[in-house]
Amino acid sequence: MEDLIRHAEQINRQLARHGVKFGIYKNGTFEERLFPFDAIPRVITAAEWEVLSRGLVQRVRALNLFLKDIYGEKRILADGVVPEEFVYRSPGYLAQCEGILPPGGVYSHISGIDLVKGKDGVWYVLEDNLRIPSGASYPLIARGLCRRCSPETFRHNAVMDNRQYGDLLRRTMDSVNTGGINVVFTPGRYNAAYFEHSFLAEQTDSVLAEAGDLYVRDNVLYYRATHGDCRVGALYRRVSDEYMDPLAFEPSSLIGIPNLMAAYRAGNVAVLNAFGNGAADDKGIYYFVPKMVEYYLGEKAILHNAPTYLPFYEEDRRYVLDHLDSLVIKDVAEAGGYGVVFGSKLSRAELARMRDTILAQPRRFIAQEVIDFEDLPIMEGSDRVERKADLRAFVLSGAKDTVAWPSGLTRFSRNPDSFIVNSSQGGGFKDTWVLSH
Amino acid sequence: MGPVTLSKQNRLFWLGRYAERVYMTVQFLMKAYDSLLDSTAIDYADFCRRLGAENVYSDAEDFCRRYLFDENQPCSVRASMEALLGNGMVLRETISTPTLSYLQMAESAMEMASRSEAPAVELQWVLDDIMAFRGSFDEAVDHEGVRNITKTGGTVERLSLMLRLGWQPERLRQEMRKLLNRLYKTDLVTDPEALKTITDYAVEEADIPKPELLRCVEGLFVV
Repeated sequence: MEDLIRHAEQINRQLARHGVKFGIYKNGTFEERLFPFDAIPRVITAAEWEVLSRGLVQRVRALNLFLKDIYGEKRILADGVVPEEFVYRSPGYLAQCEGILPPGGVYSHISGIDLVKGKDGVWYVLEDNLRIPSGASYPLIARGLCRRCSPETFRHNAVMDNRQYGDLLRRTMDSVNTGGINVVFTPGRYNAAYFEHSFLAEQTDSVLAEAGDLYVRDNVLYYRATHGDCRVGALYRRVSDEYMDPLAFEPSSLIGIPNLMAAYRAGNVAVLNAFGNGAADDKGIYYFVPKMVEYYLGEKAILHNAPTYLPFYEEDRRYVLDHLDSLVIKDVAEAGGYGVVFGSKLSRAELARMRDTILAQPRRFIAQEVIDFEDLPIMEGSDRVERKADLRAFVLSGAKDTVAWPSGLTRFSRNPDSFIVNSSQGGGFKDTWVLSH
Repeated sequence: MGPVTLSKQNRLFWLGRYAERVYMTVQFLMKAYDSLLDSTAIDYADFCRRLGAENVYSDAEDFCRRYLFDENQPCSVRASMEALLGNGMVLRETISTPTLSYLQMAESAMEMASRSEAPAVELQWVLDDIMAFRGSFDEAVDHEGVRNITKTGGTVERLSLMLRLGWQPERLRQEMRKLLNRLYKTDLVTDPEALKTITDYAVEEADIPKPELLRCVEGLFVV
């Protein structure tokens, strides 16, 4: 490990050489920044991973069944396990998806599950990302470069190889492909995650395409090639639902594919991840995931949610209002670390305003106990300091199986006083090692 | 290598053009910079006129520095370098990450040169990285037609610069014959009149005015 740390500068130079960047809009201008990498990995033992991976697979299977149910039979709503309004009032719920069963019956093919490890050693799920979770490419490319810069480290540590992510993703795409080529669909060069889009297209041997490259004819999606157009069988899209088809969703979208929804509805193309998944990764729905596991799989949830309260329920609302100054309040409509407020940091007047807002719009918020999560060491210059860090684990679901990738993106806060680890807010990343024994 | 769209064809073509533009212009300016050390006058106003660039420079020193590094000038080498890297970035899955990394390194070397008191040392890295990019590109791109789109772009840019900077007819004809040989290995659509003019000049050694030749070279491909 010390050898790896000694080579940190070399690794960061290699990352710069490979253009490992993320984009950010600041004052209306697009800037690309290097994603700061810390060489000290997060280490997950084999025994820990055995439990964690089973829990991740279990959770994602339940979430996929939930999506199939709410756009199909709606048993879970009829049985009162999840209140209807949490589904139908969710901005991620799309009525256009009613009755559609995607190819292979899979909705969330690539799931990014955000977890933290408490100081009690327990892993807590903070958030499920079932729409277009990003980040797998960073530990993927970093691992290869770390191995190059410090071979000794990997000779002496039994770290599970994570470099098969491209193959896993390709197998996932192939398993739901309806006949045709695999395409990674990007909004374009000025998207925050463009590096990842182009890198994953390369890793999966897919074609990288933008809006003008694709069109729908007779409910079939085609890629416009110079030697005759090619049918597309699987579309790994990195564009949000609302911009994907101007005829079905946001009419002003210029980055979508007109009539894509018709091709999807006809079962002629697999869209990864499926449309309408936002109904299952809503911060409000999060509360119900352990109940979904029990409902669909008849098992106890292996992974814990952070203790969460829904002001929607009167009992929870009373608790939240009584303990507002010690809870973290999350706006369910926000993402990327935005809309997260720590009650302890609010003034008396701000707390009063928050209380009024919760009373007026109880469905809009969830409240969670602040988890005292494990700090991880990072190098700051030549000093080793402790910072808050989370883990985004990736779970891939194909037509036949669901597997957890033995790695993940560990993001850390560079600010000693902050719990927010998002890259858009200045965070860095680490490799995540899963030990094989 | 998957199928190629017209937009990708266009990017591949311009990838070749920008690589050549950076390569040739850096070489030219390194020589010009060197001449200044001996107080040899360089006619930068003429250079700007020939390349169709606005002459916004106060003197030869200012020209050498800013024509190379001023990213706010669309004709600068720096701006071409950015365009080269930008084209590479949108072609990653076609040209491969290792190939793209040479463009990233060339861009970093250009950035370092802009801050250096002895920029020629760093500029040599720019040239080296572009050469490495070409080698890696050749290795990584299996499809001959795709490779030739980028190489054709490079030849077109070279010819364009050679014509603008007044190279000798024999050298021009040699380069044009290379272009004609490569032409049939790509799917690029050509303008028949421009092609005939270039063929007459290169093969039949017809006497054709340079402005007319330049127009034909620039308009040869419909991309």
